[in-house]
Amino acid sequence: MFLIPVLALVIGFLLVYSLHIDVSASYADYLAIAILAGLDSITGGIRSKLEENFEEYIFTTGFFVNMALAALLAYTGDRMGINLYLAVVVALGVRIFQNLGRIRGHLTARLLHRRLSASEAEKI
Amino acid sequence: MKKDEAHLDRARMHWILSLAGICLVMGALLAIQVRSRTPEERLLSTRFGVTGGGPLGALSQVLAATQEQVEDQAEEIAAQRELITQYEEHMAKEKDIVKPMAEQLANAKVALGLTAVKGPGIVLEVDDSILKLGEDLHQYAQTGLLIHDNDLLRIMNELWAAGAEAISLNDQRLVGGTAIRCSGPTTQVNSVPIAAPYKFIALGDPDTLAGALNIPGGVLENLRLVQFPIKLEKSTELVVPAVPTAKKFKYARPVETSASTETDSTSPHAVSDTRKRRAAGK
Repeated sequence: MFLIPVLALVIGFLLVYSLHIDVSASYADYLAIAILAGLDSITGGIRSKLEENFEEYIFTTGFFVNMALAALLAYTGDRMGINLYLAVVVALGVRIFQNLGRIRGHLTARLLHRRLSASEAEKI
Repeated sequence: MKKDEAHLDRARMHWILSLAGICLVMGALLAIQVRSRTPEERLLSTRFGVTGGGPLGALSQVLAATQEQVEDQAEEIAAQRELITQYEEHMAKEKDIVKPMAEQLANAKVALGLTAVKGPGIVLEVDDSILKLGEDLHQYAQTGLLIHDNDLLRIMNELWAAGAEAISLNDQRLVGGTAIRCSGPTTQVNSVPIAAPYKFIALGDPDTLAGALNIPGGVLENLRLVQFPIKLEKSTELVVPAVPTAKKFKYARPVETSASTETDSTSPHAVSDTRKRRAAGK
C-alpha cells in the first residue's frame, strides 16, 4: 500500500519528463522553492498521519497553497531586492528536517512496539 | 465490528490516495525542474546550436566543431600554397604576359589585407583610464573608465575617413569584413580576443591621420576628457601585418557583367530563371 504514492511519484515524473517542458531560468528558482514547499507538505502530511491528526483538506489545500506562497514570497523578495529566497529555503529546510525526524521517531517506535508485542505474545 | 473495520480501511485507503495524488503532482514538478536547462546550457544552445549532454557535453561539441574548422583551414592553406607555386612556375615561363596581371593581383592582395604592408603612418596607443574608482569617481562610472568596442570602432572609422590605407589593431589587420565586438573583459577583432592597452597602426599620410584623430570634439578629445592615457606618434616606417585567413565567400557570387545583361530577356537562361523564381515564390 505504501507503494502507491511512490509509484504515483515515479509515474508523474516520467510522464512530464517525456514532455520536454523547459522552464526559463528566471522561473526555475521559483519552481525549486515550490518543490521544497511541496516536500514540506508531503512530509508534514505523513507525520500528521502517524500522529493521528491527519486532516485531508488541510493536507491537499496546504500542498498547493504553500507552494504558491513560497514562490510568491521569493518573488516578492526579488522585486524588493531582499533575498527572501534564502529565508524561505532555510525555513522550509528546517521544517522538512523536523518532519523527517518526527516520522523516523514514530516509525521506529512502532517497529519496536510491534517487535515487543510479538515477543510478548510468544512468551504467553 | 465488521462495519467499523471496513470504514477504517476505506479511511486508510483514502489518505493513501490523496497522498498519491499529491505525489503525482510532485513528480511532475520535479521532472520540469530536472528538464530545465541552466543559463550556460541555454547560451550554448543559442550561440552554438548544441543541445543536451550537459554543459560539458555541449562544450566538447563546440570544441569538436572548432577543431574541424581548424582542419578545414589547414587544408585550405595547403591548397593555396600549392596554387602559389603553380603560379610562380607559370610566371617563370611567361614573364611578359603575366607581369601586369601579377601587379594587379598584388594590388588586390593589399586591399584585401592578404599581405603585410609597410609605409609611413601613425601609431596610436590607448589604455583604460588612470582615474581610480571611489577616489575620483562614483561607482556607477566604472564602465566609463574602460575602452569599449565602440571607442575602438570610432577610432577605426576616423582613420579610414582620413584616408588610412591599412590599419592594424593589436597586430590584427582590419579589413572589410573585420568586426570589432565587445566580449566581456576582452574585445574580439577578427574573432581573436584582444585587451587593453590597444595599439593602432595606420598607414597613410601621418599628418592627415594625426590631425583627423586630434580634431576638436573628436574621438581622442573625448577620451582625454576622462584621462585615458593616449600616445600618438607619427612614423615613416611602419609595418601592418596580413590577415590570418582570407574571407571565404559562401553566398556572395560575382555578378556576370556585359554578356548576361545584353541578352537578359531573350535568352532561355533568363526565362528559366524567372520560372524558377516564380516556383520558389509560390
